[in-house]
Amino acid sequence: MRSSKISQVVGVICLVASGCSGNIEHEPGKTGNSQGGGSGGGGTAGNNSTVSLPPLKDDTTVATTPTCSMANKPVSQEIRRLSVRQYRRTLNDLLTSALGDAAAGVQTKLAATIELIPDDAPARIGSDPHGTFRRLSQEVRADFVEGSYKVAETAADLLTAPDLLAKFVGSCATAMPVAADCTRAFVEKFGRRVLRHPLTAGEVDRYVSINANSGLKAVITALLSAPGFLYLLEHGDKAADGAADVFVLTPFEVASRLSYQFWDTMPDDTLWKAAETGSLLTSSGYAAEVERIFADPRTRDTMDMFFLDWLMLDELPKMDTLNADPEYKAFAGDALPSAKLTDDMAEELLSMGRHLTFNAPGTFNDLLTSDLVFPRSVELARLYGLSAAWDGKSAPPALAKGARPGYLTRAGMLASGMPRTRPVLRGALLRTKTFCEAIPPPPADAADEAEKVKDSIPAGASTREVTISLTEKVAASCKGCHQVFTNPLGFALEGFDGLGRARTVEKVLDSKGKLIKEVPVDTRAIPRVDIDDETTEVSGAGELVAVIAKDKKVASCFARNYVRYSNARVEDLTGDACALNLVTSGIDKGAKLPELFRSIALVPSFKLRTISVKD
Amino acid sequence: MIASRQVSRRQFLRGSGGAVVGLPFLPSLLPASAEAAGPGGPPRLILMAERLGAYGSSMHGTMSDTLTNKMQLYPGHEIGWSNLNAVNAGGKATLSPILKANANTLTPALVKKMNVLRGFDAISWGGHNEGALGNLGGPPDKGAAIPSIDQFVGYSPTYFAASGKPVERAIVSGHDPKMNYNHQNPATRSAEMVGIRPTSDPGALFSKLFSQFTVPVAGNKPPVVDPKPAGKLVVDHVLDDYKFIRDNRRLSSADKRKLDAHMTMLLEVQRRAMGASGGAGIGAGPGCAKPGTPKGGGLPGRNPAGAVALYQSINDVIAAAMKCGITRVATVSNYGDAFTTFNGDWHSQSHASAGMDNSATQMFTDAYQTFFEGVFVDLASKLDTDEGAGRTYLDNSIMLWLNEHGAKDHGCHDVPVISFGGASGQFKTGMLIDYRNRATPAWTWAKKNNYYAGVPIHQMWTNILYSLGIPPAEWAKYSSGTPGAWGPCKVMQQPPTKLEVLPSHYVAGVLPGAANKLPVWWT
Repeated sequence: MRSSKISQVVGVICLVASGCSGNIEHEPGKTGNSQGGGSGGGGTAGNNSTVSLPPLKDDTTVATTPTCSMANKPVSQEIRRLSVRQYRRTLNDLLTSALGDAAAGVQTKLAATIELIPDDAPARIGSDPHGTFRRLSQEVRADFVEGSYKVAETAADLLTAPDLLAKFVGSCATAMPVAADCTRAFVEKFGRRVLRHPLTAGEVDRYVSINANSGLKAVITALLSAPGFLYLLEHGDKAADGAADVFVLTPFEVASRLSYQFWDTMPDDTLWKAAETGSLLTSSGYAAEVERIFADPRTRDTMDMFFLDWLMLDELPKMDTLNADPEYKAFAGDALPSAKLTDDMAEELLSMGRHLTFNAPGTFNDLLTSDLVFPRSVELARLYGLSAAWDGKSAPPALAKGARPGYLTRAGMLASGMPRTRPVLRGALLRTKTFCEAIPPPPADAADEAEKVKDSIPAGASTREVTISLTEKVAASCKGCHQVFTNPLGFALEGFDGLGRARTVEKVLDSKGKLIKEVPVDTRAIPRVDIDDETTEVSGAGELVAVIAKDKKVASCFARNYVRYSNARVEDLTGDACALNLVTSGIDKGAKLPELFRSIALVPSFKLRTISVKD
Repeated sequence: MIASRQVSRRQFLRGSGGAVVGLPFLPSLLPASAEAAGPGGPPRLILMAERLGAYGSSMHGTMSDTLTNKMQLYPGHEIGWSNLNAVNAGGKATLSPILKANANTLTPALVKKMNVLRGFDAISWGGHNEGALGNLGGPPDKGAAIPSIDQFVGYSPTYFAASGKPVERAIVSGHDPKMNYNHQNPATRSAEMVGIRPTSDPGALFSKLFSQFTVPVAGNKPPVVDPKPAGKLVVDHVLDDYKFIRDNRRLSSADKRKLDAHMTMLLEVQRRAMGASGGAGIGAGPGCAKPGTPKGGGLPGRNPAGAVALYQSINDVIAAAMKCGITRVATVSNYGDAFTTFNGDWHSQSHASAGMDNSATQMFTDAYQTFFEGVFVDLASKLDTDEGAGRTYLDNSIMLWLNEHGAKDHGCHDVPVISFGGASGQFKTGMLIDYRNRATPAWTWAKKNNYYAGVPIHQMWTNILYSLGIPPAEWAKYSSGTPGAWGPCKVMQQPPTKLEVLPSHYVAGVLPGAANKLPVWWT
């Protein structure tokens, strides 16, 4: 068994190579104020959900989208299902709110049933095979419907057991069945937190009648299976000025928007109170709540989810997969990875996001250029040439200025877990994830093209040379895109090996791990960050990142990703212009990351909803 | 009380006073008299599908070199067939490098219930067609919004009624999340297509299907499911709540569609929970026995022996569910990399396996052979027990195993189709039927590479649907290109290259004939 040089590279080609038409498109976004939504805009699909949307036809970037104005009607978006993460957190908070310390026992007993509901998977968008935020997986899933119903039944059993009944329902509930008055008081109190709004008399009556017909267990099961619990229902209050189908959200709906945006869970008591008193509708009250919510530790978890999905940290290749392979062993040397290294790499990037967002707020430019590293294990630290791990509390260590700037050169973004690097993949990921540009699918004969030339590649060829042979010395259908769109970006990063270690020499090994040749690494490239820029040359990663940091599409791409994450749908370049421009202009002005992240709640449309009755 | 509640729910679903509220009409709510299930029910459908695929010569070996019978399918398109003859040596019954299994399991009698079907081309998508379960054209982001066959059949009003409304419409097991698709609202076959996640945990599958199941005392009786009375009622209360919101609160059309889909799924949960009282299948056959509780857990990484053990546990649950009338449709999917110890990129290896790298070719051959023997043949043998009237459960089933790739890596010609069972005597078995036009290859490059045009794989799926008794009108909305054929039966390759399919590859009659019954196969 071996992982041959050819098959490694061939696989990469077929993942990302392009049947190149000479044009590059921006990643699917939308223009126009059409029906949006994670699934509303197109199909969605299960564990690797897809959102089929038309590609952006022109070359506009956020920087050139229509100016934000009140004419930018909120994008019509179907109601959002709670993500599985949101569902779990909400259920936990609901139980804690009702039971206090006694909730822990119920939560433990419920855990196994809740765990049967599979997590949402990052939704695929258009031709992007890697997926995007799992919040966008908005399809109605049978396992979610069935799972949440079973959880509701189980919770009802647990909460009406003799040891919890009075604590959960109230002292009037001494035994089952529970009297109507007692049920009424319980529904008024518990029901409003479940359904996230004060209940009308009619709603209370309906649940009280369930008790009369079917008992309190049925009341609890029905509440925890209700559309108003499992979906973020937003009916709105009054119509917004000048738009018959745009409605101002109620204070309780605004409260839920805020809490699910930043906490992935229900409003806490303070936020609920602000909605109840109406202070949430005042400018100062709203701003204070946004500040408070963002400062709450729960926001850290939610921002972690943004970085996790944006940087696809769940998809990092396992570093120890090839540990038994002689070539990989020889390549890794004394750095043969442990099973934990991949997680360490992912954790480092999350730590970087946390540090620049919460611990020592920095700018988006800092994210791109910071010399700080966050290795929580000695193993990862050694990949950076450091001898000790970062303790997670003190100031993180800094590498030599400009040696490997920003998140793009951290090990987790570079490591392939293979003896060879994957320059095509590195370039493709920059194009798609950092520049928001879509790469067309590979031509059907990509593998055949590679097959034609594979035998002519000398045994001691460097990864760069192999890549050029397989992708640039072949048919125009391969060469056209590789030469321009992916390879140069990847070549500029060749100063880092398959484990993300800095290098100046590539050791070319045979399948037995025997050294064939040492080849100086060539990191010079014309990266075409701006596809029309055919002259700017870089000498390596430092200069590449400097070019990237200056390009406006990088900031706008980040804005698109954050707006996408926030809205749980693909951004609409017109309807979301205010939000996109707010984040982008914040980056331009050097705003700190927390300010950028908070700003989404300050867009007027955050408190509005378009409710279209047209099909 | 239950009856009146059901009437009430029907009225709710369809709207009162002629005002349709938009929720779906559910076939499950048809009165029993509307159903016309035969005593044995329609043939069972069991589909196994694997992502990627082995090099074609490993799958088929030299079997097609000695076809003893030939006929003109269309003028200029000659097909051939012969009986299957496994070579017994070293304790193995061998048809090809992949189609090889323990001779005590793959006995001559079982080989006589097997077919090797060749020459089905995935003309509507190449590369990763992801259509190995019949959702031809791939997932929604690739443009073809049609369900996978299992979901279509499971939710077919005709098939469902004829099956006696089994508790589980279709078991979705294995571990490839991009194989099974259905509409978000399957009962109405409306709303966008969504993926159905397979269950790879036999313990979870067992719990779902058998936790409330008691084997009936006498055979061939409806299985007894202990319904939760409270559960039946609570769903009604949730529906009431939704109806109130729908009637009294501001919702967009898209909101309603989404919530309608949720409620439809909730009704399905209730229907299953109601079990026998709501209709629970044709009934338990003589082989019905509640399986032992399997060990829970998912795939043990790249560990062929562990993967075989896990899939065989899934097979145990599927076989028991079939024999006990809990379901008549099941799928088992596999990405492929669980059946190898190779530690690298399995997708990359699939390219290298196409003759570029002998070790990779062998690796793929081994992995797919392991699946064939350990999973596909295993389930066939478990179903090959008496069901009465001289037939086994396997005889009354149609069981297919498909790979994603055709003869070459990512190629769409000659997608391998291996079958067991004759769909209750409708299909001949024990044969290799080669629908490729080997007499007059359509294009020279293909001839050099041993490629031949066959017939659209849509025709195979159409024939399967015929065998299940589902009227073509049910799939008309998914049929395009060739009227009456399942799926978008038209050449959709872009750009056309030598690996792709062109209309000119086929003689006149092949593409328009994709809705025809395939000769030779049918009895």
